[in-house]
Order: sequence, then structure tokens, then C-alpha cells
Amino acid sequence: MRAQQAENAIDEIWSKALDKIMKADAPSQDRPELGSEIDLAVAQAGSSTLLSSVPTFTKMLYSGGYNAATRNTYLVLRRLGMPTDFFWKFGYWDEKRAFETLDKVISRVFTALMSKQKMGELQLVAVHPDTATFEIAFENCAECAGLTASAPMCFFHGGSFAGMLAAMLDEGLSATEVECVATGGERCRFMIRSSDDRASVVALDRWCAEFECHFEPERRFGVSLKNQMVRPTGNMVDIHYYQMLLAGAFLSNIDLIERACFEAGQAIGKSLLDTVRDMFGDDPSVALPSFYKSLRYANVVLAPSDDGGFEIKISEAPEHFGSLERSSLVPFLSGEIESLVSGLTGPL
Amino acid sequence: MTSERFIAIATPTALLFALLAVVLPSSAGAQYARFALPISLVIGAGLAFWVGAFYRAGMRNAFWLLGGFLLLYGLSNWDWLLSSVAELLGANFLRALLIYQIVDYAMLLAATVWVVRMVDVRRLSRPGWLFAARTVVVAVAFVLNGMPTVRELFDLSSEAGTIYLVIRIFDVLVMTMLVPVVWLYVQNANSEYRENSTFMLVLVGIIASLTSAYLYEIVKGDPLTVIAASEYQQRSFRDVLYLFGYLIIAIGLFAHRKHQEWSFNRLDRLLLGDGS
Repeated sequence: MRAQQAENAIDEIWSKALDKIMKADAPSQDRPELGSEIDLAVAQAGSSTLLSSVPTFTKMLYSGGYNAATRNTYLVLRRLGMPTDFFWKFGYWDEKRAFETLDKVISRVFTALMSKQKMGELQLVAVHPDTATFEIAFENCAECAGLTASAPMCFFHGGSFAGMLAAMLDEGLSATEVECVATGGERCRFMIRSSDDRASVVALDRWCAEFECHFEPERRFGVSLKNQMVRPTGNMVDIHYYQMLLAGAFLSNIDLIERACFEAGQAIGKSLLDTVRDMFGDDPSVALPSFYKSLRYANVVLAPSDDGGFEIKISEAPEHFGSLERSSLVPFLSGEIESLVSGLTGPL
Repeated sequence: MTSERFIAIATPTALLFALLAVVLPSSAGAQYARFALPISLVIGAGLAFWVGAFYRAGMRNAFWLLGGFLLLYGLSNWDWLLSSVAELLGANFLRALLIYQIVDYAMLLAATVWVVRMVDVRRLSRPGWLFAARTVVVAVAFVLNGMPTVRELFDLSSEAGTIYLVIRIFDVLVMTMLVPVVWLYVQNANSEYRENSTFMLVLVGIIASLTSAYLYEIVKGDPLTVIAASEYQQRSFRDVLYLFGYLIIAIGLFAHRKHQEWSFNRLDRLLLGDGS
């Protein structure tokens, strides 16, 4: 049931994202007060914290991106009237034709879609149709901008690119990230190969298994809260990107990671306590609304309750807005708020 | 334009062009058939080379071999060319013509082998296999139907008789190999299986042009050699069948090459908000 909910939400999010590039004048369904963008530190915090605490989350992120992209690339292309046999016998195309055609479709549809959502700028670098090998470059990546890591960390995008190409070419593909901004690279770069090639599957497994994350929320959020740019295109990202991530990687696996999500939220809240106090003061009913608003994350209103605690009302949080309105909760925010309020006032 | 729309417009148009061979007055009809048959084949050859240049490896081989077949076949349909070569070669003409035919058919057979290798035939359904088996029976019937004619006209041990028989066998071999492929396409036409309808049209065109003569032979009850002498390029329905088959091949090839461009233009229009 939850998996079905997640799938429906993913389809709806992709469909809305496509509407944005198909109909520039389509009525906006953005959040009334906070608008359509959110600080990308919010999207990064959830993933990065879980990457630190749940060893298999690398694979969940990758598979979430892959499955959502596979399913929706197919739907997107059908909606754009592209016939199922557009890439017929792709393995027998010469390299020039393969590159030009794939590049045209990718830039017209997927680069436009991702740029519109400020996920980054996708660019096809090389295509070898005979071996089903592709190289993709991704500038201004929303997954890793402003983060540092010892190994490439864009699992969600890796999975998405492999899934997107897999759906277009009707071929099993796997991706590995070979260059990442988080490890000091100029841009993120992915190698995508046929899943029939055992080496590519081994490389993907190794990438997912050996990754270690050391996320420092206070440093990352500090950068955003001080309005320091983490990438040339700015610190904001469309909420559809965050919702894609939530639905693809979190909601699909929520039965497995529900507790971990709550604890990750608590951990983020705890580490952000000093930053929030320094910047917004000790009063949680003032500090929390200001903190979340400055990240364009959510409208949070704290009112004293009869039992001496706080009644907390949250609205416009991407986790529970639009396509995700009826979905299962992703308990990051509750863990984070609980931790912050406890820290500012003493245990609740 | 989409390939489906192009095929929907071009197919009846091709039929009209083919029917001109019997609609036009006597000598004009024959003249028209004499001109249209080789021209449609040569155009088909050009298109097959054009499509082949779009691919590499096996697909390129398949289309270029098909192009080679259509070109040689088209040239052999050119009356004045044939007469000139006959004059030049004298007594050796028949032998040269037979070798020419074997080379031509070998190209088609090789193209067919490549097509069968390129297309995933593993998912052929049980009815598909039954249909393919029936095709083999029909193919054998085609060959046997020609046997008395062969015996009457040639001594089977002679070079000409053997070649005549070999060409009949070549025809039905190609048909037998292509029918399961076409069945596969039909089988998957309504699913999301990503096979290519324009390519199917080319295959149907090849099968139609190869078998129409034999069907005509069976329907008419006259041996093919008699029909060929009295009806070929003589304002007959046989010319219409051939011409229509050749034009279908050309239409399929053209649509196949343009399919992607048309599809992409449609996508572009939709993204620009002009979905009409």
C-alpha cells in the first residue's frame, strides 16, 4: 500500500515537473507562502544523515532514482508523443547518430526538466552504442553542492541517469560516479554501462558498499543560513526535486527506514541547536519559525499548550504538500523539531 | 508528419500508381509498367542504401544487401538494358543472366539471414510457430506447383532447369524466413514491445513482391513462364501486384529513415506548446 502510494506520488511529481517545461503558462501549484523553491541543504541533510547511519541507504538512493526515472522517462516520452521504437536497434547505430540523437532528446527534455528544477545541468559527453557505454556530466549538482566527501556521493542522480537511459533504450544499465564536486571535482561525471557487463555491476556494488559519509549539518546549514553560495546557480532547488528524492528513496523504503528517519531528524536537530540559537535566539516560538522560513522549508507555528509544552503546527512542508499530501509521513521534520524544541527549552 | 500518417497516405497513393498500369490505354499502360517497375526498384535500392548508412554492423549489412538486391533486380527489369546486354553477350547471355540472378537472390537471402539474426525471434508464440510451419507447407507447394513446368520446359539436369528451380527455392526460402519475423511484429503490434512498424512494412513488401507471382500462378492456373511471356510489362494485374509490392518496399524504407526526424519534430512541437 505504502509502495503504491510512493509510486503514485512519484508519477504525479514527474508529471508536474513535465508540465512546467511543456506549458510555461500552466497555473502554478506552488506553496502559497513559501513558493516553489527550498534551500538544497534541506534535501541534502536527510540523505546525508541516513547515508551515515544506514549502510544500505546508498543502494536505496540509487535504486530510488533508477526506478523512478525508468518508469517516468517512459511515461514522459509517451506523453511527448515519442514512439516506443524511437531508439530501435540502438546498438547498431553509428556513434555520431547515436550521440546526436540522444543528445537532442536529453537536452530538449531532461536537461530542460532538471534545469527548471535547479537540480543541475545535464550534459551527454560520450556514447558508444555498440557496448552500451555512456558518459554524462552534471554541473551544479544539487545532491552534493556544498558538501565534502571522501568518495563520489551522488547516488540518486547516478540511479536517475542510468534509469533514464535504460528506459529510452530498453536496456539494463548501471551507473557509477567517477568524478564528484564533493570530492573536489569540477563537476559530477557518471559512467553508465550495460548491466550485462559484469564489471559495471561490480563497480556499482563497490561504489554503494564502500561509501562512507561524514555529514556535518551545522557547517552545511551555516553556509546556507549565512547566504553563502554553494554553487553558481544558487542555493535553492525546486521542491519537486526534493519531493522526487523523498518519494523515490525514502517513501519507497519507509517501512525499513522510518525509525532511522526520525533519529536522523533528531540528530540534525541536535547538531543545529547552537546555530539556531546563535542566529534566531532562545525562544523556540520565534527561533523555529524563522529558521524554517529562512530555508524556505516550512511554516512552523509554535503555541504554548495547556500542559506547559507547545502545540506545533506545520504547513507547506514538502514532505506533506502537493503530490505527497496523502502519502505516509517521512518523520524527519518531527524528529528535527522535537530535538530543536527540547534543546531550546529543556526536554519535552 | 508521423510515419503512421505518411504510410496511411502513401499506401493508397502507391496503389493508385500501381493501378495506372492497367488503367492507362493499352500501349501507354505497357510503357508505363516498363518504366515504373525498374524505376521503383532502383528508388527502393537507393533508399535501402540511405537507410543502411544510418546503421552499422549487422543492420547496415541487412539494408545494403537489400539495396544490392533491389538494384540488380531493378536493372534486370530494364528492357532496353537487357536487350543491349543480350546483343553484347550473344550466346553467353542466358548463362550470364542466370549467374546474375543467383547473385541477386543470394544477396536477398543474405539480407534475410541478417534480418532474422537482428530481430529477436525468441518470443514467437505457439500460433506463430504454427503459422511459420504452415508457411513452410505453402512454400513447398509453391515449389512443387512449378515442377511440371520445369520438366516441360527444361531438362532438369540442364543448367537452365536447375537454375530455374533454384530461384523458385530461393524465393520461398526468403518468404519462409521472413514470415515468422513479420508474425512477431504483428504479435507485438498492440503491446509496448519496441519493434518498428516501418521495418515491418519493408518486410511485408519483400514477401508480397516475392510471392505475388506464385499466388498469381496458382490463381491463374498458368505456368509462370507462360504468364511472364504474356503478361509481364504488358498492362496486366501481375504488373500491378509487382509494382505495388516494390512501392511498398520504397515507402517502408523512406518512412523508416524519416521516422526519427518526424517523431522528434512532434516532440519539439509539444514542448513548444503546439500540440496540434
